[in-house]
Amino acid sequence: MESVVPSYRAAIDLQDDDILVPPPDELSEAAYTNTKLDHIYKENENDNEDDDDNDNADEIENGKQNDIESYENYNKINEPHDHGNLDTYTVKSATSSNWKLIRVMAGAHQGWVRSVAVDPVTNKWFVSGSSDSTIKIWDLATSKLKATLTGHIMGVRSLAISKRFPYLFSGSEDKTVRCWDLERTNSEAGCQIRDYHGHVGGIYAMALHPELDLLFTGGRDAVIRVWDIRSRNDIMVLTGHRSDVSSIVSEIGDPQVITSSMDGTIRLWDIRKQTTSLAITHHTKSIRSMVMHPFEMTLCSGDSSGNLKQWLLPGGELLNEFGKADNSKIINSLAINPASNVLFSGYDNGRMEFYDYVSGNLLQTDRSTPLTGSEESPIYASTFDMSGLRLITCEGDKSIKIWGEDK
Amino acid sequence: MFSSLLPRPKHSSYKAPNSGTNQLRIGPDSQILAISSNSSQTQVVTNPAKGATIAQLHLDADGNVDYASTIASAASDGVSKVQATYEDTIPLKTRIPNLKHHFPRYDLDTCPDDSLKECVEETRAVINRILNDKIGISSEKKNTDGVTFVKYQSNSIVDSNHNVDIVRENEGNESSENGNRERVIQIREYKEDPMLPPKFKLRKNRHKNPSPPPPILKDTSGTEAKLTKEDREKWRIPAAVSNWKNNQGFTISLDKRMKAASGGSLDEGAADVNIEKFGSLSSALEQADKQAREDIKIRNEMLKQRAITEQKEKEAKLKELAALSKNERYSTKRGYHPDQKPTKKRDIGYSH
Repeated sequence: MESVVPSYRAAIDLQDDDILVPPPDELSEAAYTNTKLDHIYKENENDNEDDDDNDNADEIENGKQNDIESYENYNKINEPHDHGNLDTYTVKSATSSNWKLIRVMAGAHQGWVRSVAVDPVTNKWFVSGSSDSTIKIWDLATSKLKATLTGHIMGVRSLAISKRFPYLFSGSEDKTVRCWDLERTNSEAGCQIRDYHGHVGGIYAMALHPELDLLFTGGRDAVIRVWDIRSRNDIMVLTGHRSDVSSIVSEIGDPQVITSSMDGTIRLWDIRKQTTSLAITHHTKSIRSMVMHPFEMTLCSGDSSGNLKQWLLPGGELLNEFGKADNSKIINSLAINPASNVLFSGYDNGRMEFYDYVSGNLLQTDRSTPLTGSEESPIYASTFDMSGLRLITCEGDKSIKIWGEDK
Repeated sequence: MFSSLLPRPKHSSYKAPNSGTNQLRIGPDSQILAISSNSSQTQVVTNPAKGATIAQLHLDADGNVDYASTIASAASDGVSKVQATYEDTIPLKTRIPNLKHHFPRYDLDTCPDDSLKECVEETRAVINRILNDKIGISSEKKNTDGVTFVKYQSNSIVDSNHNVDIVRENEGNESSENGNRERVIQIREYKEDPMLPPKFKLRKNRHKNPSPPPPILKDTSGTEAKLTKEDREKWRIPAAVSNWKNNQGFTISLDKRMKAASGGSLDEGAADVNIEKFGSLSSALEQADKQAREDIKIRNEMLKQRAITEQKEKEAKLKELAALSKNERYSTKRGYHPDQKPTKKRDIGYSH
């Protein structure tokens, strides 16, 4: 490699045509390391650090700027959004994290805790759904039980809290989606106000459209059903996946729905035409979890071999990939900290990993200790609260664990 | 080290940079940033391969096959693009090392242009239309009488359906040119009584024949060792015999009992049963039994004899007594005993 780099420097500096060393085949090297031309840029950076007053280096710097700008131009063409307004959101990059267990809510449920959601409006409570077919509402600060919602007859696998209505939606393995009015949780008649029938398999994932009154649900029957919240009718059925739908993400602009499936594909849907606009087939194993960044047009998916991939919307380009692949590392759950840009991934064997969302560096590895009575505690669901101060993990030892960052 | 000697990956559109393109990469029209293929220069040709599933090939400016757009055009479900090139497998952050991580997401308030609003409005319109269709509120009203007219031009019209009234216009003209007859068909909706019983039987979902069982595949290569006798013996499960329970009252042979006593494990127990001695024991027992019975019989006989002799003795004694008393009575009648007062008194009584 030593012989390669100086030749490049010579090519850039002198613009010489007669280079004695033949140019290296970048591509086949890249095919092995899966990186491209990294060393050139690294070398340039080193140049800049060495002598800043070098004219050529400045030129290269400008060139790089051009690259980035032109990529943003490319984004502009494809995206409906404008990237000019840079002040609205600054990207933070986490360098270290030290998350520690703060509280264990042992015996929170009678069964595996399989789903969790934090109230996005007040950030004062969260709900958890369990295999014991109950939904429980907890106070976030005190961890006290506020209400228990019963009605499902099988395990509750997915929960969604509306930002615009006081409604909670739950999807269960009993093939029903139910809508709960949270203002009536303590009423005699119960607070379930609606249910949505139509699925022929358990419901594993759901998402609410941020602007329209739409609910997207998917699960065992490999289709995504779109419901109108008000009318309990299913509006459309999006077919295309070949296996269970594992997670659904919705956003305002196109593509409005993105789904991941156990067949290892991610699909971006055009719900106006009811078709797949793009199927991403980069993952080789089934995807159990996919999350979208709350403030970015990026999403992250993790498959059952421990690979994490970041995607850029709306085009669906692969933005970054990280995570050390290992067959024992089945990613069950992902969560993104909105405040510090930390990506949490929870594994099927209780392993926990914290990544920097921007660079993909592994910051911290931990293991959730199972309570007595269970050998392992797989992390089935996890979420950060809205302020990013607490991490809630729902586990197979029937407990909910709350983690906080130790500064 | 020797990676430069390796051949180029097969379908890569990426070209190894030489000194000339190196300069170009820095400029705005750089090689790296050719992410989206410029679609204006694509060319579509029919696939020369016979019987290929993809009928049309898209070529790029250089005449190479553009796999991404070819696959996209062949997909039936309206996919506009696919990720099919080698480039797509390399993350953007590796392709563009100094890529600024800045991809903000806008909502309706913060979006600088109207694109999001338009998107939402369009989606809302689509949703409302579908919803209205489902509920049954149609936006445009149908013809109230439900009659539509269809112009039809053919030789043969099947008019078996009662719902269709065929109105023939200018019958005379049409019969003259009987090759191509033009007809206007009036289609009227047939009003059905909603209270009528259903015409079709509702049948339960019948099960089809189950699929045949999966074939059991044996390893015929012979690599596996044959089952030895010990293994077979190990797998043999002895019959369950208990020495404590026999509810049905079966006769259980001695060797089975022996085995049961040893917990079913003792296999050589059968040889341990000494049948000869058992036989002699049983015959001895039998003999003893017979002997005992004989003894009892003899004893009983003796007892009987003794009883009989005793009886006889008693009878002889009684007879003797009787004879004595008879003699005495005779003697008193003759006054043979004067000191016997009771008899005297009795005699007085008698002689009144």
